[in-house]
Amino acid sequence: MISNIKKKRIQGILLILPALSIIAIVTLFVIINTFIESLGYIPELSFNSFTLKYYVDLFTDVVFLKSLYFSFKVALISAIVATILGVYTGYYVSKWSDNFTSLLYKMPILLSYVAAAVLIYNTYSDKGLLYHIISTLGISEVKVNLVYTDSGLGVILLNIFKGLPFVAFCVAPIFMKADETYSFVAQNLGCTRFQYIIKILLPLAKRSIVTSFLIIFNFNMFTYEGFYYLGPSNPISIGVYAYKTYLSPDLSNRIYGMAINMIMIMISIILCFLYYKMVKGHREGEII
Amino acid sequence: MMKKFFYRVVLFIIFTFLILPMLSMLIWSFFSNWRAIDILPSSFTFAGFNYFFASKDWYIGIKSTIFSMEVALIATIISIMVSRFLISTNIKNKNTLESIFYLPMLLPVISVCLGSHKLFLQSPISSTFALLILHIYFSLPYAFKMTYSYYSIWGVEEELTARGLGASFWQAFRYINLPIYIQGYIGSFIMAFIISYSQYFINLFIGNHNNINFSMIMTPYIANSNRNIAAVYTLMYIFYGVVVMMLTSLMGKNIARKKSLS
Repeated sequence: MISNIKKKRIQGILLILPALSIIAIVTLFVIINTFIESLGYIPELSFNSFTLKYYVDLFTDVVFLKSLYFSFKVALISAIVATILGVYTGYYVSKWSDNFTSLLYKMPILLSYVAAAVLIYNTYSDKGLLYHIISTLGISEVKVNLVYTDSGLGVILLNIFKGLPFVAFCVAPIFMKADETYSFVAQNLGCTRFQYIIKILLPLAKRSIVTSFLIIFNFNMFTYEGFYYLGPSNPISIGVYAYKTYLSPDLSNRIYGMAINMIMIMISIILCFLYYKMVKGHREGEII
Repeated sequence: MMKKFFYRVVLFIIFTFLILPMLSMLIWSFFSNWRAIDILPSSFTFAGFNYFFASKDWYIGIKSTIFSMEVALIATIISIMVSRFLISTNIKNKNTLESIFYLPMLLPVISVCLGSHKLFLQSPISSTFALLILHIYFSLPYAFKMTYSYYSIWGVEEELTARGLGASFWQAFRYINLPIYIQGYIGSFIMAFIISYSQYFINLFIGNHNNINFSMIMTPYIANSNRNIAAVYTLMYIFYGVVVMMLTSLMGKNIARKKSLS
């Protein structure tokens, strides 16, 4: 006869097992396998020694450092711009009850990065829509070509186009609830609109803003599609670099690919740690 | 007054930025070329749509949609199970356990694919199944976040009361749980569907020739810049996604109404 407590415990384990096993097995295998292979131990390809040589090679390689810096720069710029404008949009969207506009700004969330890249290409490339609009306004001899530039402007536009609605989507419900709760109290106590936003709304939504910033920053930095289809061919981004190195015909390059992969995972784990700190602290008095 | 005007202008620019690409999609899916000297495009055509239906790519699109629906369904069911566990038990380190499920949100797709390549090569499972696991891996956090936030607002007390009054588990689930949570379930289904539907790299790297999805058939037309066909494919991509989402939310509303009437 199984006791009631035991039965409940087994039930709980059965409930959590599928999700936990998928996430734990894949994550642990990825981290451990990548770490071992990046140290130069791949018995299938007869590399049998552990060494840090590959990391040293990478960090003295100018091409790799350039691509790391390039992806970091593009991701940081696009994430900051997307977060600021997204919070701005979210504030206004939370005040409208219009169904159509609230559907309109969510549209880019549905698109995949590849589909969004098509749209950005059609709009901002040479002889794209923007060119036609500007030339219709009467300014001739303009040169509008924002994609494939050295600075990665096309990728930044793509990331903002995808990231901005995501941030707005995350913060709008919080602003809506806070408006119901605190707006009148603040006005009654003599708060101006600007003070109300800075001192009440933004601290309330702080957690949500920072976590969505971390998510889009991380995603933008290591994404493959955006850089591959709209970015410059030199410098290439770190994600494209890892993929190319991993699939190179020279099999010893696979270790370099794994080392780049490990660096990417380390950066993400640091960001994960920040995310965890954000989620864990300050639970009281917040609107979820 | 001046300040207000300035704020409106910034908002207008943001919305133009979001709408302009959509507009370009609509224009280029019906016009094949737009010469630099023309003010309006003049060559109206259905060639892109013809190509889409003649090349059997519509079938690949439907297959990819159905696959993503499977993924979303499984992810939603799993996330309901996890949420029920987390809400009904009181263990130490609950927060840590909860944040394990958010981990895939912050791991790059490329690292996970490159790292787990060997796992799926060595294991006897088929490529489709491996793909299913990876898709669930990436869409689970979003589904879980949505479901869990609903559960942490409402709790499971009503259901426990019904059980105490003599309802069976399935009765309590059907008549108490489902009407309360159906909006949350639909939301997490749609979220997981969007994430899975928009994956590109997983299918490129892990999948075989059977697992081509919608994003992959689009890529040749970006590279050789055939704007007409690329725009048509994007339009159909949105169309398929919107149809699924509308059907799902319609179904959810229907269930909620029926349950509240009976």
